[in-house]
Parts: sequence; C-alpha cells; structure tokens
Amino acid sequence: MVDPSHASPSTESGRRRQAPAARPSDDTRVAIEIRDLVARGAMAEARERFAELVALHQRRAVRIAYQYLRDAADADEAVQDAFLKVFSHIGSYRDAWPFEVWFTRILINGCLDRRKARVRRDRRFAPAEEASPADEARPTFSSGPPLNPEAQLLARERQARLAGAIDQLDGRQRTVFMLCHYGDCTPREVSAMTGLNESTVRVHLFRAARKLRGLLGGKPEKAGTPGAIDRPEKP
Amino acid sequence: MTALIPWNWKRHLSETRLFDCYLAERSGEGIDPPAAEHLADCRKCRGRFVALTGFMDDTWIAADEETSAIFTPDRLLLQQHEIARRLELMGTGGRVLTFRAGAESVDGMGRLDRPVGQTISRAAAGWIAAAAAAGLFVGLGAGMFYDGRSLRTPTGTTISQPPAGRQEPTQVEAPVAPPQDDDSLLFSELEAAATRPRMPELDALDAMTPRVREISNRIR
Repeated sequence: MVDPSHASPSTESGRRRQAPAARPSDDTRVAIEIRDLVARGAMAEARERFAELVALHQRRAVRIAYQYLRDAADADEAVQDAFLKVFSHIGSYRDAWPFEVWFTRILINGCLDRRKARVRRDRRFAPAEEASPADEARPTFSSGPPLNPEAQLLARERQARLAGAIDQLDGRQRTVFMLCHYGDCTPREVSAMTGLNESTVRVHLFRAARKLRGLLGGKPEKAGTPGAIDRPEKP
Repeated sequence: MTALIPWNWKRHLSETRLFDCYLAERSGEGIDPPAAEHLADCRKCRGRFVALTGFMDDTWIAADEETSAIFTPDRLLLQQHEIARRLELMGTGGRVLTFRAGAESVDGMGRLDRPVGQTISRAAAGWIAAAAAAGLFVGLGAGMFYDGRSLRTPTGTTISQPPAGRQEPTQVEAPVAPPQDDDSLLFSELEAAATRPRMPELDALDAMTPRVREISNRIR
C-alpha cells in the first residue's frame, strides 16, 4: 500500500495545478498497463498496479465524494465502489480519455445515485436532525494548532454554512462546481465528464461561484440580474 | 487623449472575465495578456480579482481541511486495504448460505424472498386450510351416513310371524322400563333376557329378533 499522506502529488501538494502540457498523464499510462495485464489474465499484478492508482486519486476522490454527499460513511463507500467499478470495467477503458476524467465520471455517477437514494429514503423516514456522535467528535478544519472550543464552534458553523450554500445550488451548478473546484478539474475535463459544452460548464461554474459569494457574504453580488455580469463596469 | 488610452483601460474587467482569469491562473495556463496587463495596472480590478481568488481558495481550503480531518491518513490506508480486499474477492462468486426452513426461497443473489422467520408461505397455508375444511366435511358426511344406516336397520327388519297352527311360544313381554339412564336400562334388558325361556326351536327366530341395542334404540 502507498502512504496516503504522500499520495496524489499533482493535487495535494498545492492548490494550483500544473499546466496540462507539462502534466504527464501517469495515471492514464498505468491504467492502460492494468488493462493489458487484465487482458492477459495477470490479475495479481494488475491488482498490485491498481493500488498505485488508488493511492494517486484517493484523496481527491474522497474530497469530492464527501463534499457531494456530506456523510463520511457514504463517501467512503462511494469511493470504494467507484474504484471497484473502475477495476471491473478496466477492459472498456479507452485512452482517448484521461483516466482521471473516466474515474471521476464513475465516481460522480455513484454519488448522484446515492443522493437520489437518500432523497427517496428521506421521503419515507424523517432525516436525523442532530449530528451523529462521530460528526460531533471530529475536529473542525484547521491546519494550525488545535482550536479552542469557541473557534471550533465558529469553524463548524462556517462549514455548515458552506455546505448549506452548496446545497442550495442548482443540480448542474453543484456538479460543475464540485468537479471544477473540489475535484480540481478544468472546464474542458468537466465537459468531457458531463457531456456539457465547455462554455456551458464555464457559465454554470461562474453562476455557482456568484451565488455562493452572495449566500456566504463573500461579496454582495447582483444576484438575479444575470445580464449584468457580462456587462463591464464603467470606471 | 481618449485615443491614446488602450482598449483594456476603457472599461473594468467584467465578472466573467475575472472568473476566466481565476480559472486560467488556477489551471496554470496563465491569464491572457490584455487582462493581465489590466489587472497589473487597475487597482480596483486587482482588488476584485484578489477578493474572488481569496473567496474561492477559502472555500477550497475549508473543504479540503474538513475532509482531511475526517479522512485521516490512517483511515485512507484502511480504505486502501478494504479496496484491495474487495478486489481479491471480486473474482470469486458469492457464497449463498442455505437455511433449513427456507433454502428454496433464497435466490441467486442471496436475497431472501420472504421475511426471515416466516416458514410457511401464504399459498401453503391456504391449501392447508382448504384440506382441513374438506376433511371436516367428509368426516361429517361419513358420520351422518353410518349413523343413518344404524338408525334404519331396526325399522327395515321384518320380524317374521310364527306360522299358524304351531304352538305359540310364551311371549315374554319385555318390561317397558320407564325412561331411565342407559346403564339401568341395559341391566334390566339383560335381566329380562336371562329370564326368557330358552327353546331350541326358537333359536333361529331368536337370532332374527333385535338385540338389546336395537330394543333400546326402539324404545328411544
């Protein structure tokens, strides 16, 4: 197994991505090798190589799945299922698509299915209002030293506000925002994943960001006047 | 004077343009030169761009740190092991556990067709009820048939009269007992039969006469 703390250097080492031309698609190459190994019947070796792919994409996958589902257990299962589905269908992988795009598409489809299932389930059963003990016990996000209780409470409120604001996004806006922002995908990659036009992806992403800024108080946007955003302001 | 001002100085960057600049910078492609030049020179647009970038980065960092707090390296390692374990099990088919009471109700996917604990299906219960009702009716019918036969037997039996000219045997009238209970009636009949004169020539006739049971039935 690969140490997850050292995994996925392309996305975890920094917020900014490398330029596409300078980013060799190692994962795509590994995926093709695994496909060939599976075709030859060398399953043990294929599984061994697949562990590299898992380590490379695991953190990003978990981030997307958790932000999408807002449930740790659900996100865990969604990521596992996505990796298993990738391995079982590796024979149908075409290298015309980067592996990252293919995998993320499978992951997002799984997350969408889970969200739909949750909606159906919540129609029958009342959703739990209070956070689970595990959610209460987990630390709030902070890269620094441990926060005092007040800071933890504020951070938790901020998380809840952010999650609530993302939840208010339109379905496509949310998907595009998740993929572009949390999944570190370019609009072109999201276009390949979702089948939307690249310019449509850009519009969805922009509108999602504008709405979030309005909801979270990042900047008082002129929400509700979409035409105004394309009109340059006069100095 | 106006003609000397470059195009990008005429107007501030729109929000969409600013957002494109943010996306281009984030992906490493680089901001297009006119917009980059404007951002370098226009303090207001630079402030807007910094605010936009700061907001987007804050949300990303918040989400990443929240996820990292939940999915610690240990948990991610555990997840890797779990994925590896499930991959190894992928080739082998699932084992279906058979249960004594409902082995036939488990389908190929290992799912139960009916709730666990329910051992008799509704169809079987219906058949059982129908069979029980049919048995009840058959029993009642048979009972009535045999009972009717036993009731008809004394009335259908003709007692032959003794031929004329022959000596009339002493007729011993059976004492007409008052309606008593069965035991006392039976004993009185036995007593009467014991005191009856025994004549060999009347044995055949005696054999044809109704017995105690028939008498008792007739009395009733």
